[in-house]
Amino acid sequence: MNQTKSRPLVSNPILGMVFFLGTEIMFFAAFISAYLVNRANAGFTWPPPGQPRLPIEATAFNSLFLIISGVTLIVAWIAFKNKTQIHKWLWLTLGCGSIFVLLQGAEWVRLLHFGLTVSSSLYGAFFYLIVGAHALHAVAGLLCLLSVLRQFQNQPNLLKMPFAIQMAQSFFPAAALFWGFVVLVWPIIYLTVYL
Amino acid sequence: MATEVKQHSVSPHNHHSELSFWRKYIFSTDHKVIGMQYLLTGLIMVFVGGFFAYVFRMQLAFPGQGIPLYGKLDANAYNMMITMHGTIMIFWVAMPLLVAAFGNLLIPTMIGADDMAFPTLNMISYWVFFISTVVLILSMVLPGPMAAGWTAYPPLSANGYPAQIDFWGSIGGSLWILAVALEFVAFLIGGINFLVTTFNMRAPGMKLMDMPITVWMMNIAVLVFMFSVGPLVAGAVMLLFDRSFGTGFYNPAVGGDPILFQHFFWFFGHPEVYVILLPGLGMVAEVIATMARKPLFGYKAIIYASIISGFLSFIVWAHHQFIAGIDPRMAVFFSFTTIMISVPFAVWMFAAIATLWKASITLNTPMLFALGFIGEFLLGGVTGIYLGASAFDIYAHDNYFVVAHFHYALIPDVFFGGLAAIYFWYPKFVGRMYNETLGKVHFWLTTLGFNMIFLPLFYNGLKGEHRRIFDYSAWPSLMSADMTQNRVIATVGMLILCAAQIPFVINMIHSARKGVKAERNPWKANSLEWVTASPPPHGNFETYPSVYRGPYEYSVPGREEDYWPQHLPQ
Repeated sequence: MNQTKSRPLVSNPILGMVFFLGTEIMFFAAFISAYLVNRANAGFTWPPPGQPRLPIEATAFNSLFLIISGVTLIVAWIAFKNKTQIHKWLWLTLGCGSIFVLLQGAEWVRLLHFGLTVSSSLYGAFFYLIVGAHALHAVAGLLCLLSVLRQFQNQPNLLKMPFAIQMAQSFFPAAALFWGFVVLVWPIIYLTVYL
Repeated sequence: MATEVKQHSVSPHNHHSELSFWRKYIFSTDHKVIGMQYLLTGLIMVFVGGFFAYVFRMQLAFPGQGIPLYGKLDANAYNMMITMHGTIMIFWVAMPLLVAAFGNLLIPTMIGADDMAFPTLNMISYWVFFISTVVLILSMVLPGPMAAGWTAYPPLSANGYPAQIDFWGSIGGSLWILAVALEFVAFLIGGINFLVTTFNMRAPGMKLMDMPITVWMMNIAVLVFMFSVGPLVAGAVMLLFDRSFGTGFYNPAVGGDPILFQHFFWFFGHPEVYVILLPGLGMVAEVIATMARKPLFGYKAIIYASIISGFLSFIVWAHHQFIAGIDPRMAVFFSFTTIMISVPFAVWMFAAIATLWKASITLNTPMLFALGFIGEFLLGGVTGIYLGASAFDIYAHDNYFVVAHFHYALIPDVFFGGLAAIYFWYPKFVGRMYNETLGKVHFWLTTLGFNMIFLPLFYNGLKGEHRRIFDYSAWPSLMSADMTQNRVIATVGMLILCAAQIPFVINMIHSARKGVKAERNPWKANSLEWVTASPPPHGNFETYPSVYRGPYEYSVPGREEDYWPQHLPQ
């Protein structure tokens, strides 16, 4: 029953994730273009008077953690390829990502106190919509990374397999792609929504 | 690609065939069972959507009178039914039937794979779809169902502006949005599965240009779907926020833009037309080539044309909004692209006709439906070119001309294309032959009923019959003798179309139990699904085939038989 097949160029989980990210890119593109259209319509009354301004510096500081998590992810990828210690880099990625989500959450609480809510203005509505969508993706990405760690714990010899099998059977490449998307889309959101 | 690795996981299922009933037929990961689940769900939903059509067509022909099986119809229920008819027929019939059901049944068997790339995800896909179906039905019976047309334009769909936020009073409409979103999740998962399966699991020797046209079309359709669905989900989330939290994204009073939702909707909605059209075109081409015993004319041309149409479908959406007050300069651009997109489909049409040219045609039921598709779809396509011109569209957009046009595009696709496929692959996946006489009765009655409904509506539309009126008796100018008569003819046609489905249901149920046992390859076709037993066993193939040639080597000179299956060595 065994059948010889040529190995696929790109393994199943990675290919699936690439197609999924295509959909995700279109999803965020829709939010951001809707935001830009409304902002252009509003002209000089954007951001609307009487609404709190978004904390540009504090968010830049938070973003630093997200960017660091992206860097540690790249290091984790190299470790994955070289079959060296990957766990600590994954934990670092998880840690930095979680700090980003928590700090952003704290910022939301402050903004809600200052009176920026979904129904206070279109400005607030778009802010919570877009940043909230990103936050949901970040939490999903963190859960994916956690499941990667669990897989490495359950199948410790997966990391010693040939690279092709590693790529096909580990959750890591797909989860890394997803987290990479979460990191890379954030600067675009920051530049359009905050600045 | 020099390294060859042994695939040990080719058929892990064959070793433990003693699965429980639940694992085998309900929570199955087998693509054939999942395909059948999608097919049956779609076929059940077509009767729900059809019932709504029956009720509102009766109301239009005989306004204000009691409708058998329903009773008196009021305007709110009418609006709800129009909405649900569109939603169900597009998202719960066309999509599951043409894309999900036949994609699941055909893609792995046609490319010689044992199952989908992600079988568990595939099962999840169906059950998410099932939940979405339940949510949709709940949304109709709970208070405040969506009654804004299947396009759900705000402010109507947002309960007006300022939005009246009454959570329980408008729960139906919110659930409708949720149901559509869940349905998209299901097809997104399914679509990823289709693409990865096609890319990575083809039989040895099968190059991309050796794939049957159906597999190509399914994958192009799924790609178009995946790249267009994001904006609609985004737009739907914003609509849900407007309904539930009073955000006002689409409320001009606070700076929002109601046209924005139309852009989001049609950015998805127009590609969606091609998402359900392309699989239909692929399957009909398959039937035509097999029954004409000739190579499919211009196989590569069809594929390239379809890829181009996939790209073009992303830049035609605003032709649905010519009357929404968009910039006339933009309308010129969209008129141009709209008329341009008819070219790839003209390529398909000519290829189909050239395949039929001087062929020895077998006129059985699938072929009749396939030929019916060519004739009927032509009418839908040609009227589409008229409507693409914005000057004409401004007159015709809000009357029955448009209704007749898109039914002439979608019913040939979903009904004629889908039924051609159901009859054609019935022996393969059920394992028994259908009844040919009942099939032919089904075809002729369906054709008669369908044309009787929509040909008169072209006429009424051009006479100015507005398409969003519940009771025409309030509009004397629309109650002239010929228009009233046409409405009655259309309603009688609808009754014939409903009655025409009785032989179909009898045929399907009776043949599944008592029909003649089908052989492996009843149509003497080339592609890989005909190699295996009917119905294919768990794991699809007894021995996995290799591929040596393209799928349309019919009537090759110098061969005794008029077909040359893909898996036979020289």
